[in-house]
Amino acid sequence: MTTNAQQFQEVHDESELATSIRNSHGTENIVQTTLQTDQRVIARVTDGIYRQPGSALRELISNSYDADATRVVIKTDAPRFERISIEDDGHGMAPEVLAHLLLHIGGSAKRNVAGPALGVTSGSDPMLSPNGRRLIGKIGIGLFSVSQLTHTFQIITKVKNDNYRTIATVALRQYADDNAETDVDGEKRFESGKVNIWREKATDIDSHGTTIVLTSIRPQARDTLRSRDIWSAIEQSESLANKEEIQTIEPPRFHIGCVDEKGEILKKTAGDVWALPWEKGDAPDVAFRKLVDGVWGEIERSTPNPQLERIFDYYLRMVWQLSLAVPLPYVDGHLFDVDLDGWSEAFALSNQPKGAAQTIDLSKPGPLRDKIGLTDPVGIGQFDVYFDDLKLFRPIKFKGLPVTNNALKIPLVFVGKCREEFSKLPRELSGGPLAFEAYLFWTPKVAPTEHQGSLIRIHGSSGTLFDPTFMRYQVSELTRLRQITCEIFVSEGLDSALNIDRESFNSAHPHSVYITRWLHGALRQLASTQKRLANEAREQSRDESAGAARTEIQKVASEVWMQEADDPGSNPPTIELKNDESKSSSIGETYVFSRSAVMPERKNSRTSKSKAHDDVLEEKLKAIAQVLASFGLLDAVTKRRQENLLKAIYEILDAPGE
Amino acid sequence: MSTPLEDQNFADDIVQVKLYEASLPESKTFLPWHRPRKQFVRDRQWRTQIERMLTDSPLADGTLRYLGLPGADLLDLRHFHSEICESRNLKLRFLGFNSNARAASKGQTELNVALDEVLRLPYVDQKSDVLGDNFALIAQDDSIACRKAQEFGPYDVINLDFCDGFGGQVPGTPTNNYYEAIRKLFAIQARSKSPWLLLLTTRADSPNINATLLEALLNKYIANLVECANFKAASNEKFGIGDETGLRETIATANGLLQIFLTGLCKWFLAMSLAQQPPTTLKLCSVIGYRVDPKSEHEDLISLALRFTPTFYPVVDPLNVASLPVSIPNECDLATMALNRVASRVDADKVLLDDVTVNNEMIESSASLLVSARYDAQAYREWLDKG
Repeated sequence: MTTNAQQFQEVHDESELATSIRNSHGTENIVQTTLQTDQRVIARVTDGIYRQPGSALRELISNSYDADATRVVIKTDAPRFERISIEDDGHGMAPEVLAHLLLHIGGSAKRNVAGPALGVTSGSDPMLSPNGRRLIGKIGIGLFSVSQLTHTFQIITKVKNDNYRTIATVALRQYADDNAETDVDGEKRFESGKVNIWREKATDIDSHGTTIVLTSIRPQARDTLRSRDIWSAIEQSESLANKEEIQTIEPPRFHIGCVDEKGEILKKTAGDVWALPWEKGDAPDVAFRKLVDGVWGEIERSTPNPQLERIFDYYLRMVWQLSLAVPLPYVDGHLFDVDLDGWSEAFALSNQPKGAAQTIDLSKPGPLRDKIGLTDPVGIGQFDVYFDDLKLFRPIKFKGLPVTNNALKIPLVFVGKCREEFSKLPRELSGGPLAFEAYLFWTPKVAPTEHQGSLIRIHGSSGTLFDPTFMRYQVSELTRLRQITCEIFVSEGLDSALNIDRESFNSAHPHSVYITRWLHGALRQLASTQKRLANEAREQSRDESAGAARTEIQKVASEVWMQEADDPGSNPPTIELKNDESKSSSIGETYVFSRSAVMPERKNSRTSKSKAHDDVLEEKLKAIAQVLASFGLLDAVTKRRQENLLKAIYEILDAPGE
Repeated sequence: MSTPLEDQNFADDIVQVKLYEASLPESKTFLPWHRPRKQFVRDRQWRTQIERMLTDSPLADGTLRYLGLPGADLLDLRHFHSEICESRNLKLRFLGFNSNARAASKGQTELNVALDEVLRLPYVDQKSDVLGDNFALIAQDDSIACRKAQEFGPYDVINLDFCDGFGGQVPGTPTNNYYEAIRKLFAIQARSKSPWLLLLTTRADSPNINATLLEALLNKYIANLVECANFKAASNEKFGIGDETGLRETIATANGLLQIFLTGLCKWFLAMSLAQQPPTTLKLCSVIGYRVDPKSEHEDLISLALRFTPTFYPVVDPLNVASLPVSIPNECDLATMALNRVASRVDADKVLLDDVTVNNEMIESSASLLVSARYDAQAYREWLDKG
C-alpha cells in the first residue's frame, strides 16, 4: 500500500528553500532545486578540478573536520568501489545551512559573516569552527569535489535536537559550460546540478552528523581506484603467447586485490586474492601500524629506497596520501613530543638570512616542545578517521629507523618557529601576518622516497604532500635533500596563497616567497651543521678502520659517490650478489641482486687465471652499480630491470674486444 | 556480460550516468512482512532464542556478531539493538546482504537512510555493513561475499530470512546455490568456540520445495526409521509414520509434507554439523509458521531456530594408540528431539487470533519498530484495519 502521492515544489531562493525544506515532512513532500552558479569557472568545479579521485575523499574528510566531527568512518567497498560512504559525527546541516550550501557553490559561509549566523563557524571568529578548530575549507566547493568520483550522491544530515533528518539527492550536470541560461536581469546563470530534498522523522533526537553516499562511481575514477592500469598490464603480459619474449609484470608487493568485470569475484594473484601487510580482523590502529612497518620492512628486504609508487597499488597509495594530508596524530607521536635525548641531536634554526643553527641542550629530560616553546598542533582535539580496515595516522616515523653505513649514526633534528608581521608592507599587499613552526629531520635514509621533501600544513591540513624540490631549492645537494623530511606547520597566513584545488601554491604570494626563503635558509643551516658533524664522525671512523686496503676500482666508486653526495659521513651503498638459496646478511644501505640473474653461470670450468679475471669483472660491475646509484639512476627502474641492466653491463665487460 | 574485446570502443564506458536526474525516495508502503505475525516471529522466536543463548553462554568479548538478509528498512537489526543489545550492553556487529546496496538499485536511497540511522545507534559497531551481493555468492571462495563473511565471522547469530524459499532450488546447480552457501557458512562457523543460532525462514509448501532436494531428505528420514528406534517411535507417535510406505503416503498431504520437509532439513543440518571435527551438536529450539497464501490449508512460511553447540569430543583413533572410549554425540537422539520439536510447531496466525493481548502487544511493538524506520503509526493501524 502506498500512503500518498509525492508532491514536488521547485524553489530557487535561499530563504524560501530553507523554509520549504523545514516544511517537508516525509517522502511525499519533495523540494526541488538546481545548483546554480553565476560564474562559468565555478560551474566547472562540478566537472571536477582535482587530479586524483583521492582528492575528493580528502575534501570530504576536511569538511567533517570543519564540522567539529570527532570521528569519520569511510567505507569504499574496496576493491570493487561501487558505493562509497563517508559518515561523520559532526554538527550536521540544518535546512538553512544546506540551502546555503546548494545555492552558493564557491561561496562558502565559512570565514565570512554568514558563518556565525548559520552556525557553521564560531560565534566569535568566522575563521574557527563552532568548537574552535581552525577551518580548513574556505570557498565551499569541498562537497562538490565528489564530482571527481561520481555525478550522483546522497546527503543525509541531522543536527542535534532536531526530530527530523534532512536528505538530499544530487545529480551533477556534466560538462556544464555550454548550458548558460540568461535570467530576467540579463545575467548568465550556469546550472550545475539538480537536487531533491526532503525531511524524514527521526527518533534519535540527540544524534548529529552528516553521511555522504556516493552512489555510482564514475568508470574512470573506479578504474583508477581499482589500479586497472596495473592489472590490465599484468593480464596482457600473461595472455601473450610467447612468454620468453616479454617482461613479466609482477603485481605490487602490497595490494587490495582485483575484481572481475561483474564486481563479484576476486582474481587470484600470486597465491591469494590480495597482498596486505595486515590481517583481516586486525584492530584498525594495529592494521595501520603494520602498513607503515610494511614500507620500512622493504629496506630490510633489500630495496634500499622503497617507493610507494612501486610497492603499493593505487588504493594503498591513496590511503597513505590521505593520512599525510588530513589533521591526524602521528603513528608514533609528534616529533615535538618526543624526548630526543640519547638517539638524536637537536638544533634550533635561525630566522636570519645568514644565521646559524644552535645546538639545543637535550641533557635535561622532556620533549622538544617544552625546550623551545613549540605549540603545534593547535586545537585539533579528537579526530579519528577510519578508512575501511584502517585507522589513519600520519605515517611518518622518527624512531627505530634502519641502521645504515653512514658515519653519522643518529638523526639530526632541526626545529624553527617564526612569526612575520610584514610590518613594512600594507596588509592588502602582504596578506597579513604569517606564523609557522617547522622541523627538518635529517637521517641517512628517508623511507618511503615520497617522504623526501618539504610538506606544508595549514591548520594541520595539506593538499600538496611532500615537495621533493624543497620549494625549488637550487643548490645541487641531491643526496642530502633525499635524507630530509621536513614539515612546516602554518598557524596563521598562507592559505590565501593556496590554489583552488588546495594542491599547489601561488608561488608569487608574499607568504609563499617568505616561506621559500626561510626554508632555503634552514637547508643551508642544516647542510653546514651536518657536514661538520659528518667530518668529525668520518675522522673518528677513519682512525678505527685505518689500514683497510681499497682497490683502484673501489676508489673510483667512492670518489664519485662523495662528489655526488657531498656528505663526508656517507659511503656508497653496498652491492651484494646473492646466490639464490642463500639468505642476505645485509642491513640498511645494500642493494641485493640475484647472482644468477646478473652474472650468468660459466659453462666451462675455470682456471685460476680466469677465476681471477672473473673476480675483477665482479668488482667492476659492483663499482658501476655504485656509480649508477650515486647519480640516483639505479632507483629509477624496478628491481627486475636493475638486474637486467647490470646483466647487460656485465656482458659488455665480459665480451671479447674484437 | 562484458562486451567482447573486438566490439569495444574508446568512447565506451566513459560516462556512468546517462540520465541527468537526482533519485527520489520510494513512497512508504506497508508490506506483508510488516504484519504483527512477523513481529511475533521476530520477538517470540528470534529475540527470545538469542536471549536464551546469551543467558546460557554470555559472549566473551561483548560483541554480538550477526549475519543476516535484512530488508531495506533494517527492522530486525533495530529490534535486536533495542531489545537485546541495549539492555545487555552488547555491541552489535552485523553483515547484511541486500541487493538494494548495489549502485544501480532503486531501493538504495531508502537503504542509505536506514543504514545512516542504524549505524548511529549507540550499540552498533561502526564496522557493520550491508553488501549488495547475492547471498548465494558466499559459496564461492574468492567472492567478495565469501571473503567478507569470513572476515566478519564466525557469527553468534545467522538469520536467513529467505523470501524466495530455501528449498526451491535444484541441488547441484553451480550458481546462486543456497545449499552451497549454507555449507560454506558451516565451514566459517566451525571456528566458533561458543554456541550459535541459525534462524531460517523459508516457504514450505509444495511449489517451493524442489523434488530432488525432497528425495534426498526423504532418504535420510528413511535411514533414520531403519537405524534409530527412538526416531521411529517418535515418528510413529507424532506423524503416524513407521516406514517408507507410511512416509510416501503422508508426504502426499500438505501437513505431512510440511512436517517431513522440516524434519528432513534439520537432519541435513545435523548431518553437516556432526561431520565437523570436533562435531557440533544441534538443537531445534523453536518452529513458528504462518500463512502467506490465505487459501493455504496449513502454515506455508516457517521460521526455524536452531542452536548449534561446538563440542570438544576427540576423534576415534584409527590406530587405537589413544584407546580410551569416546562418547560422540548421537545423531539418533538429536534427530528425535528435532522431530518432536517440529511436531509442536506454533501457528502464529492462530495464536494472534486466539489471544487478543498478544495480538495487541505485537501490533504495538510492530508499530513502534516501524516508526523508528520512519513509517507513520496512524497509517499503519489504518492499513491493518483494512486487513
